[in-house]
Amino acid sequence: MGIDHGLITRLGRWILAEVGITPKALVVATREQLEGDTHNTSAIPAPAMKDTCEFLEEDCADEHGLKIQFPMDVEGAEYVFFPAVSDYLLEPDTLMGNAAVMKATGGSWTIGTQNFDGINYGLFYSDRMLGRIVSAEVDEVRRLKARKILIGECGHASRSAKAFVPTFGGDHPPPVVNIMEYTYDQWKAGKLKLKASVIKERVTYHDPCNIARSGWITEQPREILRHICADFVEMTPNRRDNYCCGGGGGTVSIDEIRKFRTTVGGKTKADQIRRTGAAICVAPCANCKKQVAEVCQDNGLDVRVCGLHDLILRAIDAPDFMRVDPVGAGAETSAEGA
Amino acid sequence: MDAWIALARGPLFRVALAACLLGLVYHVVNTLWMIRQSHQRSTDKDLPLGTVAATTLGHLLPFRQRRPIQTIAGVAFHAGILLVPVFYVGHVTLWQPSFPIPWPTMGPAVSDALSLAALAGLAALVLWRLLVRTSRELSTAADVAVLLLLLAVTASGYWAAHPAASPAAPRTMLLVHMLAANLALFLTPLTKIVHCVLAPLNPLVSEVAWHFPAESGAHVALALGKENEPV
Repeated sequence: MGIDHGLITRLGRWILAEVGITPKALVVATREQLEGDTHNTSAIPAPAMKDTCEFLEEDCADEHGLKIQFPMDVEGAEYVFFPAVSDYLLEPDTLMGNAAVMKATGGSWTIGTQNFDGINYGLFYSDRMLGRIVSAEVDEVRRLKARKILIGECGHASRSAKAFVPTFGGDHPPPVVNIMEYTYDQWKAGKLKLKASVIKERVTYHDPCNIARSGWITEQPREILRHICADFVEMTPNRRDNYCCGGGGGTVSIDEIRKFRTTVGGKTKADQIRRTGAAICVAPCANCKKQVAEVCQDNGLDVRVCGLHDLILRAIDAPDFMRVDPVGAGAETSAEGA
Repeated sequence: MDAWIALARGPLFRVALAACLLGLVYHVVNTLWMIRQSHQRSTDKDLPLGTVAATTLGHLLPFRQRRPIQTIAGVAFHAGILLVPVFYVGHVTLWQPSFPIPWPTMGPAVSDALSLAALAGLAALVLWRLLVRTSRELSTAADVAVLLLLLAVTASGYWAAHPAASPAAPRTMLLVHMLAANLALFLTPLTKIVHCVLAPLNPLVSEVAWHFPAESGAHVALALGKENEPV
């Protein structure tokens, strides 16, 4: 019939929020983001976020031999970066992959220390909260005199910005770009080199509802994965028709219902992944990553769940200026060592 | 009996058809008017009409559906219920003398096949609503009653055209068919059958509805006296 259940659910949640029936976790996270000291849903202080980024820079050099950088509060950059803030706690490889792409392509970007969270729980709350959170995001872009919003690998953050910055972003709202769109465009333009078939494990791709259901981002990650993976297989159905991971609508944050969420709500996804025989499931969304990982765990699937940029980090054909040991320097070092 | 049949195919049919058409026009105009009003109020007026059109087609065409039984039953039922009343030669000859315009017609063989497929589809959908728990929980009595009414229209029409197979006298069956069809027409704008004109607008309604007026949250807060209330 084309009846939009998401819209009905959203209006129902708004009414419930206004009469005071709101999940405690939602209230706490939104309060911290809008009125707390840290301005983000995970209550990560800016110094802790900066420490994490410095650690990731060192770790990337040690583990991957790549020099990356997380620019902070750079005025006049093209992009201000807003990942799901939980990525700073849980997804180091995704963030390193994001930074590696920006470094390799000479991307003009920055992280704003006043607001670095792409999550918008206002979408689950009311227009008032939704609007305040979007406005705060746009304010950070304007404070830094940047031009665009760059969202990390998060379906929820991407959709809430893409759909609502034009409404709540004031005059001339900044365009919203997902990091996968940026990476794909740079790769297609020849500014990003990726090694072909370097990922040997069988890989499948889960379409996050928030970016795929509308047909917004479905082909870009697939093209990249077909290039860098030796054995890429599709789930069925996929793209706009893909099944939800089972953790949508914020339910992924409710640990009390994990068993239901993974063995009932997530069973279809588990069956879908099992049929692919994949060793790696790419789920470029903070919510989906957590849910699909728990679905695999609770349904006895030995599958690693990661983001797209986790694999790009392994596949990037880095230019010399990014390498800790530039091509050719390794031989000289060996000769000197000998 | 003849007087009752004359009443059913004359005044009652005209009243039912007029109620049906006026009701459907009202629903469409009202919906389009509300879409326009919502769009005017929205802050972001950029509508992805191409996506809306693709979504609409996706819902109207059965190819993307993932439930084969309902899809087959639904297509069979809709094909019969939409095509036979409009193109069956026995129906066309009733109104063509008053409106002598060229009109394609289908013969009894095609009409019979479509009617039988529609009956099978309707029966499957009724059973689905009654026997499958998830469907039963979501169904109202009106949902089942509407399907039973359409089942009565189709079955009585088939029997009226095939007196040998009819469980009742042919004229009686014809009267039942006409009365049931008139009732279905009359109820079209008043029941879920109205989806015949509103379903194609649903994706556009939803898209417009997602384009909020920026100040609506503040207005609600003001109305509730919550404008300065913290989270």
